[in-house]
Amino acid sequence: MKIDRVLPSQRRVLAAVVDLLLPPSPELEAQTRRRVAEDATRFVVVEVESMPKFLRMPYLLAIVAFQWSAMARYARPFSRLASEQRQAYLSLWSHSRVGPLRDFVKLIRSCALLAYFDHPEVRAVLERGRAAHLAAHEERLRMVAE
Amino acid sequence: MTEHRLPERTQVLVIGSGAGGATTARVLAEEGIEVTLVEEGPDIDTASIDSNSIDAIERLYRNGGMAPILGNQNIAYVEGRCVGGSTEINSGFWHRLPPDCYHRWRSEALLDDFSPERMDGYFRRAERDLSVSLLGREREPVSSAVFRRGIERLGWEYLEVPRCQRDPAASAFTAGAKQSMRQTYIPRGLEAGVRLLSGVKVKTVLHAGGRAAGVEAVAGADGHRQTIAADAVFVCCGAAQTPALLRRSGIRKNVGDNLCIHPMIKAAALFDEDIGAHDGPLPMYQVKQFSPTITIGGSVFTPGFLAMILSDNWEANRNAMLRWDHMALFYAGTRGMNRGSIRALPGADGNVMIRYRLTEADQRNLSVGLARLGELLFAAGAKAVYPSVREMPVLRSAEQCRALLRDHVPLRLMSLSTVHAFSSCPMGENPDLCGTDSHGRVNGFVNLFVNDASLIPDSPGVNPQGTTMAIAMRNAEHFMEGWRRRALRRARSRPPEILITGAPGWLGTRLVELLSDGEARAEHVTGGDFADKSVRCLALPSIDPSVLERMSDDVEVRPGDVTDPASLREFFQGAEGATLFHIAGVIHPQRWTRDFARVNADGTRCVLEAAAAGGIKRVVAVSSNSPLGCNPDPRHVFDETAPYHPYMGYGRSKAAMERLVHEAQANGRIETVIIRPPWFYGPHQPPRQTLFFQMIKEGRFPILGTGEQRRSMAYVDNICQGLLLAASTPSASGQTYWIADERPYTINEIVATVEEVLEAELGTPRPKRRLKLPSLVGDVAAAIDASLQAAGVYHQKIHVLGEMNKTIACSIEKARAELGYRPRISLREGMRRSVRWCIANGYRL
Repeated sequence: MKIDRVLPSQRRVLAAVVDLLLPPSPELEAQTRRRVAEDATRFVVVEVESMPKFLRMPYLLAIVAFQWSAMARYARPFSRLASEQRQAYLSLWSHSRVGPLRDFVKLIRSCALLAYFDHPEVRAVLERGRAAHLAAHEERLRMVAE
Repeated sequence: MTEHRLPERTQVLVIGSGAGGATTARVLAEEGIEVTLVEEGPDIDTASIDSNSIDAIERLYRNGGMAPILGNQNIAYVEGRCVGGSTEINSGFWHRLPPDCYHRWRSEALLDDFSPERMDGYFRRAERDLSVSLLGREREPVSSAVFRRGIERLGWEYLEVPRCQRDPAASAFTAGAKQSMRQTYIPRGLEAGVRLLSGVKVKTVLHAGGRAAGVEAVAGADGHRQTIAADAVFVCCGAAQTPALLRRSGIRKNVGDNLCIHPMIKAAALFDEDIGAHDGPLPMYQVKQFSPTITIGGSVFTPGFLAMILSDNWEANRNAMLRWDHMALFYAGTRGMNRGSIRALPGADGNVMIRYRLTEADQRNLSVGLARLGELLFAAGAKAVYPSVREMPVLRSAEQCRALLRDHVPLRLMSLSTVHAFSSCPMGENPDLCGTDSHGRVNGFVNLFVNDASLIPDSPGVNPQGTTMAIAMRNAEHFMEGWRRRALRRARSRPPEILITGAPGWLGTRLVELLSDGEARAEHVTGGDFADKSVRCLALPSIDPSVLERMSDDVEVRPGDVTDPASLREFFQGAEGATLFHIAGVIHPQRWTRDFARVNADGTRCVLEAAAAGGIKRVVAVSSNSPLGCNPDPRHVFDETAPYHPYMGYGRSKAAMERLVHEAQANGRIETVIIRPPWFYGPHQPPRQTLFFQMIKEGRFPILGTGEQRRSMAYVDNICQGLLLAASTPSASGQTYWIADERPYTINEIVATVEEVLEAELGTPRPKRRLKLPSLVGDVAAAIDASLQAAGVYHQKIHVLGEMNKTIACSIEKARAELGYRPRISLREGMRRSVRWCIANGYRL
């Protein structure tokens, strides 16, 4: 077991955070959304593991701290919290006055959103929506012209 | 391809395959050199991958883009780690170097051989090879059209930025459209014979005695260390990795201390119209109204990139993503005002820490840049602007943006990024700033070079790829000149008739110059046969031989050391009957006085023994006034009969040297002549002499006592005349001669003459006052100097100050009578030539 890699337990924490961060739109089928969320989590893990060692090790420790410091507030680790509690706890970190706590969430959020919105399946939904919108717009213009 | 068994030897090893490395490898291979190009990253066919995709971030970016620049506000920094380097992941915009940089780099970095005219051909060549072109208004994408609309409404200056793209109208996401190194110089280099090894991590540069022997490298993820020997090594790993590798290899002077970046802040803008920024060509325009400090332009767009910008205030801005197709991304880039550092951290995976502290000026520029960007976007019709600033989710009007001109955004709230890093190993002749000489040769090395963005002396204010490539071509060609010259010389292999030790120094360089230039020599020497002589110089292995070698095809430079008998044996090989000018010596040691005896006395012993064994006919040895000490009163002058009374450690070492020369003469194995020049001046002067001019110009040069104490001085050409006469006058054998200007000068006269010359040459008025100090200051300095030297320590400024209240004057009558010596250059003319040389060589006076 390499301690400078993301462990399965840490990966589960990251997956839970990613799940909270991904937006409800564009609307995806449940299965597609699960696949996209998995890919986004995989990208976050790859990015964490790609960090230079002197940043990676503290970040891996921060994942553990994030998981277990929830005990102080909820008497349970993060991964065992109810969905609303997870959201509140995550919000606590992302709006913290302590820079490194904010940065911890910021990194996951920006990577997850990048992976989500540039995911081929999400891009396809976005493009379809745009095409429909453009077609409707052209139709409106045509009607006005007539 | 990754080869687990690396070649044992190559002529030239190039480390890194980005803009600098690929260019270097191609130029050298096309000249017929055996080049091995090693790249740490993988060789991926980037023509089949969108460089803005998640896939590309994982495979092509170093650390997956996760290597921030640390400081008071962290800055996201990305660079490529693949064959082609960062040219595979950048946007492919192309800029030439702005004109102001040429002058600034010449005056601040003392960069030689660098002008718009000199570089024009290199830029043209690269532009042709990379299909650099403009898109043209008729193919303008919507995102650029709205941007131009804003600029024109505000009446700001702007330009269309050229791009390295075969089809300029191709989408920014069309794989293979961009003409990166992987598409251009790498294949051309391979055609010319470059051996490309990807997946090879160089751990350290192996070196000794100022020569790089090769590198230690690892092939593949789990490979073991192997050595690749090379005749020359080019480090081209980019602004972060080049200094890291050099520092890991123990090369640290001016390496990794001067990092410059272009910090950038981004914003998204929402428009009424459908922008479709995700599938159009690259953004076209850049605002130059505030350059070089601030530039504003469009960024590559994907929905993912947009989400990242909005993520700073995600809860407030997430709904903006619903109108992603009506949005585009823009940036305000600034010229960073501080200097950062690169440090290699211990650890197996080559950790590199990049640090940069943003200043108040950076904060102001970023805020102003954001304000101007917002102003432009609202002028263009934006409905909302979303800056990448925490706690500032949206700007709704131009007024709101203009408020940022007064109330600057706190740094801690900004999300910053940069893709431009450079200057971490600047090139030039400024010893306080530069890690390499003006052509990328690492200081203290003869065959180790840097040739990438690290060399750029400071922030150019534009994308540095074009400048990096043009500089790399220039430096590679300069290297080739030396390579060809040495090959030619080896082929001709003419036995030397004149030998010179210490030639790379002030006097030696001028002597070689006069020997190579008959017209210049004729001003000083009419007798003697010095035409078309083959010259061999001994230079420390760490000295760049090209300055001397360029003077003539008849000049050869051999690496060696006067204290090393083995290198002296090689130096004298095949030189029977030649004349030796022994000029090498230490006047101002770095720190320890023991260098005086080691080089001046012991070195001379080695030289005389090797010269006698090598059958040298005559040795002309350069001594000094110091074995005689100081004159007893201001009217007294030394002649050649004056007894030894050495002044401090230097004087003692030169007295010992003269005794050794006399002994060699007495032994009858070799003819000798001793030349004693006093304080000399003239072209090729070291920085201390430039300081002398600066101090006089500013009225800071200390005049001790009345200033009527006298000093003999000698313009370098006058000394060279004496040296050549000593070599060619048969009766001079066994003699000693003072060689100086016509007469000694008082300190007041020297200072007044320099003031007049500086006024005439620079147009600056003479200083209103001079720094006059009591003579006692000189006595105190001399006492301190003596105490320090007794403890083995040398301090140059104290030593020089200690001499300033003393008369050191000599008579040149014997040289006039026996050698026919006639100094041609007066003090005024000599100082004029010195000042002009300083100006011509970019020294700031």
